[in-house]
Amino acid sequence: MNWRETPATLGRARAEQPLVFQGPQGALHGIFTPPAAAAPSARMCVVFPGRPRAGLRRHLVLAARILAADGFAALRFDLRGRGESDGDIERPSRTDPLGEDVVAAIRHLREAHAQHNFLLAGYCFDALTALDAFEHEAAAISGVFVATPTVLEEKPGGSPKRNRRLGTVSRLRSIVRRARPPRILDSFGVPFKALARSNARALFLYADQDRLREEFRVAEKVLFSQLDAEARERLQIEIWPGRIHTIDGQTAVIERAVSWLREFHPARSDRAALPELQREIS
Amino acid sequence: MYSSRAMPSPQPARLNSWTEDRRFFESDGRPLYSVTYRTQRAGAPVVIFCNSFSENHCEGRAEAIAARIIAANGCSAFLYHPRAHGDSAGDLEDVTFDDLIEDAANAAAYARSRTGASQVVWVGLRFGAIVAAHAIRKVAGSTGVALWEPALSARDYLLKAMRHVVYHEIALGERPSLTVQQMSDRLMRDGKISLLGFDLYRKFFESAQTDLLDALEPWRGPTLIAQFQQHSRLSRAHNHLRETLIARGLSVRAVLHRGSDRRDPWWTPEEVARQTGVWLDELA
Repeated sequence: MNWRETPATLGRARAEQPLVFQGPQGALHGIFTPPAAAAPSARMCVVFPGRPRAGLRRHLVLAARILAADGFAALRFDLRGRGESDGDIERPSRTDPLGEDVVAAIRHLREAHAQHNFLLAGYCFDALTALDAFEHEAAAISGVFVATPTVLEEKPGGSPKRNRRLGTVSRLRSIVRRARPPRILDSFGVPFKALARSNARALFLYADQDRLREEFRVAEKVLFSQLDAEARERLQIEIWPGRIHTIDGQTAVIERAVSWLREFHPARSDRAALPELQREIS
Repeated sequence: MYSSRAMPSPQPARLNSWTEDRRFFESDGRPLYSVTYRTQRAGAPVVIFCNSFSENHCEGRAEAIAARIIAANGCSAFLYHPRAHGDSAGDLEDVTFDDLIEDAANAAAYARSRTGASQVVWVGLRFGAIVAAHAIRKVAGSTGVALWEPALSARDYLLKAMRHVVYHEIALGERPSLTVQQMSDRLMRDGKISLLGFDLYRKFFESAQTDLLDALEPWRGPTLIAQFQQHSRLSRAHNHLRETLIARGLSVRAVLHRGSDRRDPWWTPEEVARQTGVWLDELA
């Protein structure tokens, strides 16, 4: 994919508007990229929650401009405690995604920018956060790109660092606890069920060499297996070879996000052929 | 004079009102993102932040927090993203070191027009310290420079970024894929290498042949050095910088910012921003 600036993406950069809207813990800051007037309108707005909003290698900035040049509106914004947004900085927690921030973004875009149809995309914790918005705004979301978020309450095998700190009794308790069947996070399971009930499409992307792939196997077994045929067709899975939960892995992930989001454009008559990488797709 | 995080501020805290205004401005024909924190204090300088090179998420937030604290202390502040950084336009592949200086000079002109300030105080973060040191030579009315964890040499800073790739791979339990020398060779051969979170291009690497002390040779204004490290004293490099500047007749304030709770000091810039505010008051 060409990440170089083009006259079309430079044009979208010139049209960008800084936004501020109210989140649950104060002001959230972002950049709204209006769709190119010359492009056929997608009548959809892509929302990228970020930590910070530029993303690594500025991929979210460039992706927003590329999609806007195609006719999508786009918003990238700093989640609470990151970038320019208010809030205390916290380590990302698998139990506490920030879906309320995404919901605040959707509601602001609806009220202030006349956007009514949304696509979400996120990587890792930001993916869990995007998914988390389904509980409250499922009807407004047409699709969500979910790249390699956590699934289980505990890492399989526990955290080695934490295990080292435990005393003998605690360690034994921990072993017993881990012997129980792994439990899916409410922060994954509850919004997943809201997604399944909605009409939205989704792409769940993992890679077979990442530890998170093991967590996702549980989701496949427990959640995906329960879907009816209609929902199963809407919720796609791609498992790539190698690793994507790495700094270097993100470029290919965002490229896939852009190509998948483009499929939603009404002007696109046929679904894009899948990339040349050999992937297991179900 | 040293001051540390534990030291109480010698000035009583006071809160001034300010407005925040986010806009794009033009530099060399492309839009650059900026935030103006405007106060009404007559005669106060505008404090312009020069950020580091390419990726560093903590520093961007540190700038935003610090700018508000400085505005609350009565000075207007100005943040901007140079070309190919953050929300601004431009490709990193095309950027040279001189481009960053040009953006800094254009940022100063724009910041003055937005705030009405005639004087500029620069805050340079890491690599941005070298950019700021060059900008003060181009921008008349530069009356102070604060160097936050300054990079002393552009070349060393970029080689250190290569070394971070080696450390990162070791931390993952992997054998380093390339040595720093091999990365340098690849950069020269291929024109680009991938570092942690950004690509480094030969064009930029070759254009960045400058040292902080050389750039500050003509500078005789008040200078603040803020060290963002866990150490309880200035590092050897920062102490050398301080002593050299004092020997040139400069007034130099050094601040140690050690952070708290074993967090990266860049996540908690509040105290160093307050210390910078106190230093700005003394300049006035």
